[in-house]
Amino acid sequence: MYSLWLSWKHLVHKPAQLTLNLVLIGLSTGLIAAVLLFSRMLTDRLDRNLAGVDMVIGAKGSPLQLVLAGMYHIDVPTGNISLEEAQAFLRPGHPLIATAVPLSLGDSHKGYRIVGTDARFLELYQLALADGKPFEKPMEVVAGSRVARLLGLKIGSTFQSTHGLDHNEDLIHEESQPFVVTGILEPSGTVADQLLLTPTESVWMVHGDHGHSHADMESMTPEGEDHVHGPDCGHDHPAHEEHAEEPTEAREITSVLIRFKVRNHLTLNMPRSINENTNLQAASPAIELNRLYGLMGTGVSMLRWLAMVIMVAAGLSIFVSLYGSLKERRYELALLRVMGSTPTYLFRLILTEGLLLALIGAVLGIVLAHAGISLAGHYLEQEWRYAFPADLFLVQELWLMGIVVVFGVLAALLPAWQARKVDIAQTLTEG
Amino acid sequence: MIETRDLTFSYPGGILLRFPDFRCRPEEQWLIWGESGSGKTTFLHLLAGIRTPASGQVIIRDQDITSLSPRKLDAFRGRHIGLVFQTPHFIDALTIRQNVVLACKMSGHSISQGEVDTWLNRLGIGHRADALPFRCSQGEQQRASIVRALVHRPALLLADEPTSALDDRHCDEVVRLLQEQTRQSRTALVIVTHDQRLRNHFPNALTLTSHVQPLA
Repeated sequence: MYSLWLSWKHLVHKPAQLTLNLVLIGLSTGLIAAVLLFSRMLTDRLDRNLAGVDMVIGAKGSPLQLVLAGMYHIDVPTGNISLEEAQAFLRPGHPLIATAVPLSLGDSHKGYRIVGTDARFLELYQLALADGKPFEKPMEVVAGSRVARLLGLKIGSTFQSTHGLDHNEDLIHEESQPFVVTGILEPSGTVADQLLLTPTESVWMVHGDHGHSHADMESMTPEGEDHVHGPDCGHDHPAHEEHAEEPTEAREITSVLIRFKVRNHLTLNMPRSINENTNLQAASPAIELNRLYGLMGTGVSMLRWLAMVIMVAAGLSIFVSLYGSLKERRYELALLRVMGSTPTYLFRLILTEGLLLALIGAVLGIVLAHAGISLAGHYLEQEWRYAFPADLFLVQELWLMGIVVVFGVLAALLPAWQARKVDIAQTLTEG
Repeated sequence: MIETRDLTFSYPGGILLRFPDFRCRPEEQWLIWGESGSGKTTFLHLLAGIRTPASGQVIIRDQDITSLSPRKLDAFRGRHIGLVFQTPHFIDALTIRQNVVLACKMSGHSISQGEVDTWLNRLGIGHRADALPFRCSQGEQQRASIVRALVHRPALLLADEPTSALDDRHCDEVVRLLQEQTRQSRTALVIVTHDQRLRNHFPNALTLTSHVQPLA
């Protein structure tokens, strides 16, 4: 314990050197830990929301965008598709499809997405109600647990939707019938926690599909080429109820989430067949996610390499500072020998300094990583509506700390060996 | 009792130093004289067990330290021998008080805060107890190094040229302190020096001449 204290005193005696070493070790450890944490949280979030969905059908465009918008609600949809075209997949009794869930996107409430769908959405994500009842009629809403908590929604709460995903007072559907909250979901850890679920008809009632696509509204600005509903918009609006009565061929939805009964060559070929023979686009979430992980993997890999380089620099810094200090500490080491300490004690003393530096640096790095995730999480939550909790701890972080400590000890090994070999008589004679 | 018998030391270049036998009773105070190259410092290092003789014995408190294993020799040195150098050196990261405590810890002695303060006050540096060594004057550092060498009450205090760099006033003061404190601690004192000013302060003196011969 005394040697630990002595090592610590030596370290704090050179605050500039100590700070430099800790910054280098902390930065490298923090960067690796942050990459580990972020990757884990992202893949957890993405995998948890797969919900067994085998295929997403929507408008032509980027398949990754279709998946991200339809399943994760973190991108704008590729556009709308006609309900008539989608009916082929939505009707019960399809020989290959077990579940098909329609989604109508385009509106939000205070930045949280309103999703027009039906009861099958609740089944797909195995969602249970914490309070109230499921939606039954148009304009009824079941709120996700997180959105309900953050917006203070309760059973009977009413609100009006806004065009697009950004909260903008000018884009509120003031003239439309308000949505009424009838149920609040239990937390599921899925995307449903941050959604407001309502029957598809609600979206049609608010928007109608008389000449503009409501999914496109998400990327629209108030000054955009698409128009905004209002008393001065220059044409007559049919009553909202009338939209619901519009013929099927005039109605649109945004996408369909599909789960197959079985996976065979027919289901394997279905996306290609849809893409080649219809105006629709079919995308496989598994394939698109793999593509996304591949894209992310390059960035993650680069960050890891960068962290490794910093860690090597940190190791060199420990080595240089300990080795460099040996010359000026030679007399101190000889003094310790004169006072009765053994060469092994000196070896342990220097090794402990390397260990302490690495350990403190590693702890600092982990704290930095969590603080960074907390800050970034706050930003990402505002952007994506996904929570990135900073209190998630991974076993890999312990491994990382262990590796950093071993690294520090290795860097101190040669200086410690040199300290062990200090010639007392020669040093004292030169002194 | 401190005693050396037939002590020789060989340098790497094939030079052999032969030392006269030396006996020092407990509480005696000795000067070891010699010109440069006579082997004074080497003799002191042999007494302290930090050099290994080519032959002969160094007996301190009935223990021939040349027969001890390195580990036991380190422990013996820490426990029974104190050293004072021409230029006082300290562990720079520790205060004067912590340096004194360190000497006790290393020698396996326990010491209370009060005892440390008593020692430091006795040598007039109590007010510098919590100062880092580099903030103390040369004189304060030399006094602190005497405290550190004596605080664990060793059998033998070895001082290597403790006054060579000091003016007359400080020279007298250091010699007085060394003599007083070793007497009070019942510690034998051996000073190795070529400083003529010390000649009249010590009744016992051993002069080293160059008993140098090439190795056969």
